[in-house]
Amino acid sequence: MSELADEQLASNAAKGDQNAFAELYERYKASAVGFAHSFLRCRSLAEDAAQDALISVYLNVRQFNAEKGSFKSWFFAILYHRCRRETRRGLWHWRRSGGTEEMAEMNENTPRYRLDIDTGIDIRAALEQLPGKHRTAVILTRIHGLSVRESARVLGISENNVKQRVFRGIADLRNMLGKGTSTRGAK
Amino acid sequence: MNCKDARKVMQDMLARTATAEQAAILKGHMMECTRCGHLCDGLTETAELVSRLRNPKVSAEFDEAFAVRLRAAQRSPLEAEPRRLQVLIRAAAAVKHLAWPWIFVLGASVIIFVELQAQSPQKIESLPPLSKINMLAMLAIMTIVTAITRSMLESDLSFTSVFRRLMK
Repeated sequence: MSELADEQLASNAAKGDQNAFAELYERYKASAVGFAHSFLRCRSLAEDAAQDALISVYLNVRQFNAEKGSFKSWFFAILYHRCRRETRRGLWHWRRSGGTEEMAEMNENTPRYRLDIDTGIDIRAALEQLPGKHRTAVILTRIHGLSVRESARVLGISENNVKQRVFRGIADLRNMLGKGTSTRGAK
Repeated sequence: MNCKDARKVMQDMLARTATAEQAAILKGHMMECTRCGHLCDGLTETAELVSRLRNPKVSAEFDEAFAVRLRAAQRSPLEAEPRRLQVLIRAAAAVKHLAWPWIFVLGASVIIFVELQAQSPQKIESLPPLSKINMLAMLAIMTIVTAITRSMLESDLSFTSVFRRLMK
């Protein structure tokens, strides 16, 4: 695997280097599907959105400007808007009501938080219960490792707002997992 | 530091933007306030759990489906877009075709028409109805039809390609 930074790869891809794009594709496909899945909660829609975003990167990589921010934030901004568009279309409601695998997870008979071998709790299931804007901020900063500035760029909000959403999201998760008292009202 | 300030530092800490100085002050506060200490420990532990989550594996068909869609997108960037959006893009591109040369012509015609009417309304009234009404209408229809036809004929139509073509 190449040691080049994402920005360098993007620059090479813009010059027509197919291997550079292939490397970016390999680096980002899993996180793209992971992020889209947490947003759309449907595997097939998540993969569609991830593919859309990656194709968009391929077609528009010349527009990427490293001076304006990292490649990661540029990519996640594209993906985030794809996911939002998908959500607005309401298709995911229809798919979810069609009895997909995700329905089993949302079924009332399913335990809300299942035990996990490593952690003892199913943090992913708890994460899915968070309000969308908190969940997205937590996922971007804690799972995908974006900085507050990068997350702010992706979400189109201020850095302080990102911090507040992350704090609120983590605090809510903590309450859901029974790790302490409520932090409602904290600023 | 009071509890409110401590929570602000915790916000920074979770966002990985807290300075060493802030962290030291928070630690000092936590020695005195067990409630904040308990909260901070819980938040840190939960954040660590979240950070340990890994992305799900992509399906076996992902690469193949991507390759098919990419080939389609390379043939025509427009094909990569959803069908509903394609219509919108074509319409917008048609407007773009319309915008540069034709809106200028239309605008100039309207100005001339209004000016002419203001200066000598009797001249306009004396014109046969076809010339009077259809002068602008024909121009508008021609403009729209030309723009739409051109946009529909061009299979590689996209905002950027139209823009580049106009710039040439």
